[in-house]
Amino acid sequence: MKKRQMMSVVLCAAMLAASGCGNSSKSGTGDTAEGARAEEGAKGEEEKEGEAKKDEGAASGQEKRVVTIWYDGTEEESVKRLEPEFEALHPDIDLQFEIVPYSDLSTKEMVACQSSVGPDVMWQSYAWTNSFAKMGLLTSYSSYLEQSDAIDLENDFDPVALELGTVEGEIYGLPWSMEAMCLVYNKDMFRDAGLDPEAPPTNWDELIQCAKALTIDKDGDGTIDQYGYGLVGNLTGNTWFRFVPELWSAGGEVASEDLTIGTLNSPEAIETMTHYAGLLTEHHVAPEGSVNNGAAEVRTLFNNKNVAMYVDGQAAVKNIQKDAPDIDVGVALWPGKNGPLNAGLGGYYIATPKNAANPEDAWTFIEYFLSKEVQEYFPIAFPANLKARETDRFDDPISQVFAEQITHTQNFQPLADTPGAQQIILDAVQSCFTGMSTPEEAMNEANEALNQILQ
Amino acid sequence: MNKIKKKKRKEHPFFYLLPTLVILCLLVAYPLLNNLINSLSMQGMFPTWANYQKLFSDKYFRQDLKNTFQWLFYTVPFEMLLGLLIAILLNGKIGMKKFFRTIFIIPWVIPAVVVCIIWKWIYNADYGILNYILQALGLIQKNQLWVSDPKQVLQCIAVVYVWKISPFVMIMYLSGLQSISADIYESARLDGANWLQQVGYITLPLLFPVMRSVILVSVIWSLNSFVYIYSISGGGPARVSEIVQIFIYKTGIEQYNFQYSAAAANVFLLIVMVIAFVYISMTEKQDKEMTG
Repeated sequence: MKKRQMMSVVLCAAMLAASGCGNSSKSGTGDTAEGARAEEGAKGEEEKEGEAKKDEGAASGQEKRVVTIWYDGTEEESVKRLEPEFEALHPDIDLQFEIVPYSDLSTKEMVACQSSVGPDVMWQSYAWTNSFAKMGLLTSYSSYLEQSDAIDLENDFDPVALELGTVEGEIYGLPWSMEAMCLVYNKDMFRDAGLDPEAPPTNWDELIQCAKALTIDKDGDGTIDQYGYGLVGNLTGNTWFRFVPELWSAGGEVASEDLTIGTLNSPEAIETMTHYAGLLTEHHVAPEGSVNNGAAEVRTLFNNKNVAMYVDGQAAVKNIQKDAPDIDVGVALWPGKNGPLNAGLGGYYIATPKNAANPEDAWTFIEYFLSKEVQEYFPIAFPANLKARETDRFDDPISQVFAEQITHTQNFQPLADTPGAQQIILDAVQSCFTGMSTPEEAMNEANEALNQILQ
Repeated sequence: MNKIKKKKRKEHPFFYLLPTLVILCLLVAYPLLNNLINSLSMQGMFPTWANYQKLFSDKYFRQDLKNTFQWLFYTVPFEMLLGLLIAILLNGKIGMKKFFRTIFIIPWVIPAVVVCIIWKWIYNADYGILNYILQALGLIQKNQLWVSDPKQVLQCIAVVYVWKISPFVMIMYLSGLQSISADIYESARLDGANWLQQVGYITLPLLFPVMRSVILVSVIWSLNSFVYIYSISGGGPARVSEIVQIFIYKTGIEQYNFQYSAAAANVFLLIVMVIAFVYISMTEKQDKEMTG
């Protein structure tokens, strides 16, 4: 995966260099053709058609207007399809996709928005758009949307997905993908433990019972070989996405409604931490080293059949099916305290920096990008455009569970300093996992720290 | 005649230095100054030291400073000893010298992030190979937590760091050792000096100039060794293994609090500069005496 990302970055750079060459030597037609051929060679067979059309556009002597798009490379295959399609429809616009790895994306975007050079369109995780908009870094789409025939926000889009992209009535981010995490489990392990693989746990008590039955010392040497539940106790975002929905299901929330006071010391929050850390410290159904396990590590353990259940998203399940095809993967609604819980809504927004060089053409691209036709094939997760969900792409049983979970979701509170709050939750989880503090102590301390950053 | 020659020979050192000066200003002076300005929070028109005040009352920053120096203590002495030991052994009369030198240099050649990901799994409390080997050898009865245990996480990562960096120390010492003439050893042997005496009275004193710079570089690297801790433990559990570099990264890059993290970076820079200054002036005299 890493290698492929590197490759594509190098490819992108090569492409940029090639197109740069073409532009600078307008008169020398031979040069341009050569540049295009080099591009073709680099990009492979499937895009030849698109490239040919691009050449026609260039041949008619028009200077192409560039729209730069930053994305994290996850949907590279679909992007490859997007570029020639759009450029065939709009031969006067040149789309330039640039990959920024997800771990750097928010920082690079923050820097780009505050300087004068940056993309025209950028992908953002749900958590970012709200704070970017509040800092006044984004272009409002409201005026474009009023005149647009292509996008009918009220009827076509999931209203929950729009919430965080809207600040004081202005729309700064448009959602294109929606994700919610589910309980992922290994059906074979359920069968081996005498559990019904079609009846996965639905609440905390059942989850603990189930996980106990699935925690097994196979060779009788005194160490556990298979754990029932893969707890995530490392990395701020990974832990936040798995802890806070559990907190909601117990009736708690991170902060008060007006976001001024922390509520992490509530009885509900302490109860949630008691349950979450208890899976390790009390019931011992999670790996002893859970404090070092981010979602990627837990997925590796799941692939190696060391863990029977854990919580993850749609793209992760696709990766499991690819990396460990011998596992019979089951997916169920995420069990909360008293039943299926509301997962935290994740996904991507599309946004335009305030200082974007070419917002008009960026909008042309967005109208095309959010259309039913593109969204039908584009996101790995569910498209936020409800019309695009009607395809048969989501007919398999696993996708249907994820589709049901999407209807049980809510948004994380738009705290001013979400990364800070994520660190606080991680610290609390880790100090409970390692026995450095009790759930009460950890949550009281967490709430104090949260109150400091909320002021 | 003489006068003309002198005029012709007049040099313009400033012009020769200019390119370097410009580059240094751009790459060093400007960022430093900019960081200083960044770290001052504005109260209306006037800059204030609020970030620095907040920093010294921040329990995590104080704890991280303590961790940083603990880390220094866990890493530098051990990499020095290990590097020196291997270098002296490799410099002696042993067979397959090239083979061993290549073997020992391997950790230094592997990219740090790769090393960290591998060691992270080696240390895994449940499925790590370290626990497996130690159990198979009967050295431990129960799986150890290693980097999941707040009490030993920093030491465990220090082992990785020492393993990774001592080959560099070894190579530096080896080049120093090879510049010591064999005649000196020969005459010492004729005078009846044993191996230990040769090391103590010839090798170490003549190695001092190399040692001096290797220690300085090692201290600075150790204080800046962000990647090892960040990719193995992330500073956890619950920030117990966090060093100042990680504090700077977390507050600045992860939490967008650039002013606060600039202040932390400046404080740390000052500390490192003081250490380096004291160290250099302390060893300068000794260096002159020894190399005379």
